Amino acid sequence: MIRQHVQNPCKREQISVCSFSVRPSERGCVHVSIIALDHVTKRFGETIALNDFSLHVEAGELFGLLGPNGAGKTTAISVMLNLYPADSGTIRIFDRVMPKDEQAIKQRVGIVPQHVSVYDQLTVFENIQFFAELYGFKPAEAKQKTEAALDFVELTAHQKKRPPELSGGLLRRLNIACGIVHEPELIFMDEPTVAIDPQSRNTILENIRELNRRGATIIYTSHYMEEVEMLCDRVAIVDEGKIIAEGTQDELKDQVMTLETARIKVDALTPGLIERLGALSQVKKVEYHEPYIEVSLEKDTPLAPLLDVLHDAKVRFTSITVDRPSLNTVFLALTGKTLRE
Amino acid sequence: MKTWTFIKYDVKQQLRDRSTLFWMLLFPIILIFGLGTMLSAIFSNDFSLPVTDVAYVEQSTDDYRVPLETFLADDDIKAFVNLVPYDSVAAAERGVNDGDADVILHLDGSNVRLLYEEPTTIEFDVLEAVIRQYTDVANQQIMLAESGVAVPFEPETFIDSESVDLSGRTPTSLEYFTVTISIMTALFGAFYITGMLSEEQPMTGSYLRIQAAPVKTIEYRLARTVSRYVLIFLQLVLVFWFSHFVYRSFSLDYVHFGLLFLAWVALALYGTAFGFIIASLPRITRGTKDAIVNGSVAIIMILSGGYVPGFDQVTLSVAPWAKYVFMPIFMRDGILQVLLRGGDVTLFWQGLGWLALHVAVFTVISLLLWKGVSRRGLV
Repeated sequence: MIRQHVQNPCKREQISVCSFSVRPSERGCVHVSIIALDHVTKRFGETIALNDFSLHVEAGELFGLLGPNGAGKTTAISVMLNLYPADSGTIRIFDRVMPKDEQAIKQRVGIVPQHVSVYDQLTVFENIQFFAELYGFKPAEAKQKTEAALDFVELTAHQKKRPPELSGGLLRRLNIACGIVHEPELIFMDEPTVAIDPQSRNTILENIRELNRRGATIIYTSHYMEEVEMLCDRVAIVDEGKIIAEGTQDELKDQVMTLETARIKVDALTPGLIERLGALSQVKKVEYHEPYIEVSLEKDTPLAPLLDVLHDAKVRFTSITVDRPSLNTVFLALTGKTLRE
Repeated sequence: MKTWTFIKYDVKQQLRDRSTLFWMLLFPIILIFGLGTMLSAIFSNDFSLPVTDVAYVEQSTDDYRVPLETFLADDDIKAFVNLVPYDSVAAAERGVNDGDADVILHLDGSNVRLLYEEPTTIEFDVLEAVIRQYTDVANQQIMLAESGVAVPFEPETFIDSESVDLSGRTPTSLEYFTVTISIMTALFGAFYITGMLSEEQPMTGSYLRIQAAPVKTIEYRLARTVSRYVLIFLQLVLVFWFSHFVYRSFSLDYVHFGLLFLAWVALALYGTAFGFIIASLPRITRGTKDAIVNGSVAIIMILSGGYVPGFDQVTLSVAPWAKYVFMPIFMRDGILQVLLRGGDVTLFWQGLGWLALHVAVFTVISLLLWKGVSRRGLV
């Protein structure tokens, strides 16, 4: 099994002081910033890929970078790893300066690229072992790490196959195994579930949760808002090379949403019901779209007064759902675009 | 340690790639076999070179006359050389003008001169090669004698009968072999270098992981270059073995393996430097760069007599300076011929000097190009 690097670090909203070891030689911490990007700019010719980009991620977080294709998510990862040098701004990873401490930083970082990046002529086992050896493990040790990584992504049965013999889902798992075999403390996952079947996606998402539970800090980029909603503690929304909003999901939703919609399925409407519902103090608007009554309420309004009105009017209802804002709604509100663009 | 990891896994990948196996190991054998067979047919026993009438003017002492005439009296030489004695060069010229002779051979003291009219024919080329080889060996004998070293052989024993005897299996297979071996090492190496550098696009393919790993670029490039040359070395061992055991191109007794390996390393450096030049060309796509290297291989191979043995003579007659520019030509004359067939090793060092000069020039050019490309941000 993959070794645990970091004891469960504190969550932002829970304990303000905690003590854990990132590595035996590192210090205990108060909200250790694993990543600290300040005012980073990156241009490609006339195009500004990152525009005054600032980001802080703490140890143990599963942090989502959400944005449409071309927003700058992958460029942000590239700049953090010095694959593209930044034009301006400062980058600190593990409290070390990139690119000055590039080698030391890279030793502790893993990457799962958007595209499957493995060697077709090497077997599954050899691919993973190669990357383990690249991170300084001797062959015997690298072999053990490889076996653990294979076990983790459940690819042991396919270890002798070459990548062209694997299905899309298995390839994605191999892609992950190559990125985590050296047990990195920080893992960049750049859209690791693109173009795979739902079953493989679920397996991969569970792998990611498990890596995070074991202590790895994960930066997860995606344009699938459902995945980010499902996985991430905090999210930064990126658009046109800028972070336009950042926070926990609730914080983001609070930024843009003041209303909720309750949808009540009713058998029939009685005269005057709509007016009575509309007269409630927290209700802003009532509409009837058979068989649903849609009530716009102020956020976090108790539903009891609504139900009381229905009960008094002897209206039978079979279901009530409250539409809470999604990240997609947040993104739409902030940028005027949908995430799938 | 990481260098070794790169080499180990890269060689493994190359050896598993069927197309690489075909082009690197099988294709050269097919090519050598095909060309060897073709050349054997051309120079088979059925093929007879027209007899050349040589106007022979002897104005020397017995010390120089006897060895030359003994040499010319050899049956293999007599098969295509008919000596017609003349008293003077003027008389010989008249004989040539009258059509009684094709060419004049003048032994003037210690000098042996061939006088001829342009354009020349293949018979003359053969005669010139034979005489040049004779004088080279004779000079070597004299040098050894002057140094007080016992001369173990007569001059003619130094004459390689395969080179002279056109009825042999493949008289020019050595020429083909040396050109091929040089080209394969240097320019195939260059091809790999451009390929390797083309793969190094940021955030693409498996190179992305290499970039993200704690690996220095120079370490990665060095390791990959070494691994590519390991394969080329395997290829050459195969070609060498095949050429020796199948076509008997040379005798293993004469081969200086140490110096041969040094020459191979120098050729590898040449290929690397050439590859870096092409890879540094700005605003050119990967496909075009590959085409330039492939085209260079083909052109240099043809001009140096690799595909058509003897074509190098045409090249040199048009552009004598090509002798110092086309690597396979000076490699053949200066290095590989000597290393594989025996001879004056001084030529080896001269050839290596030319190679070093080329490498230096290529390196400077590629550095300048690379700097320019980096400055414009086109890498």
